[in-house]
Amino acid sequence: MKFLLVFFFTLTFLSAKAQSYSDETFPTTIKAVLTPEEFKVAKDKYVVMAKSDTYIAFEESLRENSAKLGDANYPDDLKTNDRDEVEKWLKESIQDTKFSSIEEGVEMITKSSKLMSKLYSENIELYTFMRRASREQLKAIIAPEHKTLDNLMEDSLKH
Amino acid sequence: MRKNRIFTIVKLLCLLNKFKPPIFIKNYLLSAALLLSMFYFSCSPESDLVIGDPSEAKIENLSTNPLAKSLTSSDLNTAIQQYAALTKTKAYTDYINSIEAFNLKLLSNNISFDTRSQWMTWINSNISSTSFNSVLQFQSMYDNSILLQKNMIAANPNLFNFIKNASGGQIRQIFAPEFHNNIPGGYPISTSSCIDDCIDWCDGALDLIDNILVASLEIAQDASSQSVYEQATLRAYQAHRRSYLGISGQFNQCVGNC
Repeated sequence: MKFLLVFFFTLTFLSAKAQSYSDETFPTTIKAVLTPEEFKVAKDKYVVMAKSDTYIAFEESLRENSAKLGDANYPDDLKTNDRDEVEKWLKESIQDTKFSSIEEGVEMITKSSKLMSKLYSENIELYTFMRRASREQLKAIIAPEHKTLDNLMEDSLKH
Repeated sequence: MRKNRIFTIVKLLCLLNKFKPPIFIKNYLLSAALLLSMFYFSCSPESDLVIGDPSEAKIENLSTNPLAKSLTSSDLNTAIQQYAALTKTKAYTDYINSIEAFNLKLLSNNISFDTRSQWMTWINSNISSTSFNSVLQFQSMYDNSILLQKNMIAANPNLFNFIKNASGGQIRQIFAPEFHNNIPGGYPISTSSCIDDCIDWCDGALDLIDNILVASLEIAQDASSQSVYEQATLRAYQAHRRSYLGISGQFNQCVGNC
């Protein structure tokens, strides 16, 4: 099995910050260290979120997509919430993926995107804190994302 | 060929960190780091660091408290990002390709030396067991690799200074891109600590993907709309899970090879 670490792809994409447009419903944040109270609230909220049905569904969707994406990487400017764009990309890249069809790929990729939106909407306060937090705080807030060797072995047995 | 590389990376880590070479590195790390040591660094018995062509080596004595070396988390993150960026450059690719070509011609000779003169002595007696056309060709390819490496290092002084000052665990994180597409297997090294080494590697890799997730989410903070933020955050999570899946497969193979 090929080793699939694709970390830096993400950074590249994010740096590009493709489209930016104003969004009145998106709270403006100014990067600042969270107060101790805010920091604690954010950490607690992440723990709660990580147990929510939406997060669990999102997690499962990410796992399924990870297995199906194979060697393919999303183009930097691909909007995964746009079915037409995803379909267009898959028409060119389906052979690099393990999706059984373009339709399956479109469904799975857009599903992740919808679940991300849902997760954000259900946790706006948390994500707003995360948009302001320092790197150190961010790392502590998302601690539930940390996978241990035990998790890895457990997951290997599950899937 | 791989073992040849293996030896060289171990040397690099030895000289940079003065710690027992972890076997996981022998199995999984490739390319740049290796050849850094192959041509540029060597671990002398006195634990001196030799940088550059040994014939004109500058010696830095690192024996004073070498184990205390460590980068700040900020410097480590910078080094991780700079190394990842380096692997996308032509200088890096040219260098790696030169090493690949050189190693291919060594055929099955699992050898590695610290100095150019040692290499030349060896090739003079062993050219028939390689596919080099002549000693001159060997010398030319060797020198070319050194030149490419010098250029790469000269173009990235900050990064290589970070690497020099990083702890063992940090070195693993910085060199993480070397794990790409390198399939373990074919050269299992069975030792009593083999599984421990797989576990060490796995722990380091899991920490690394966490750091990258944090860095990705930090970059997403600059998004100016909810849509852009969601897309950036989704990509960060997706990349994290893909990496996790990759680590899982790699770990299983590592253990399977023990």
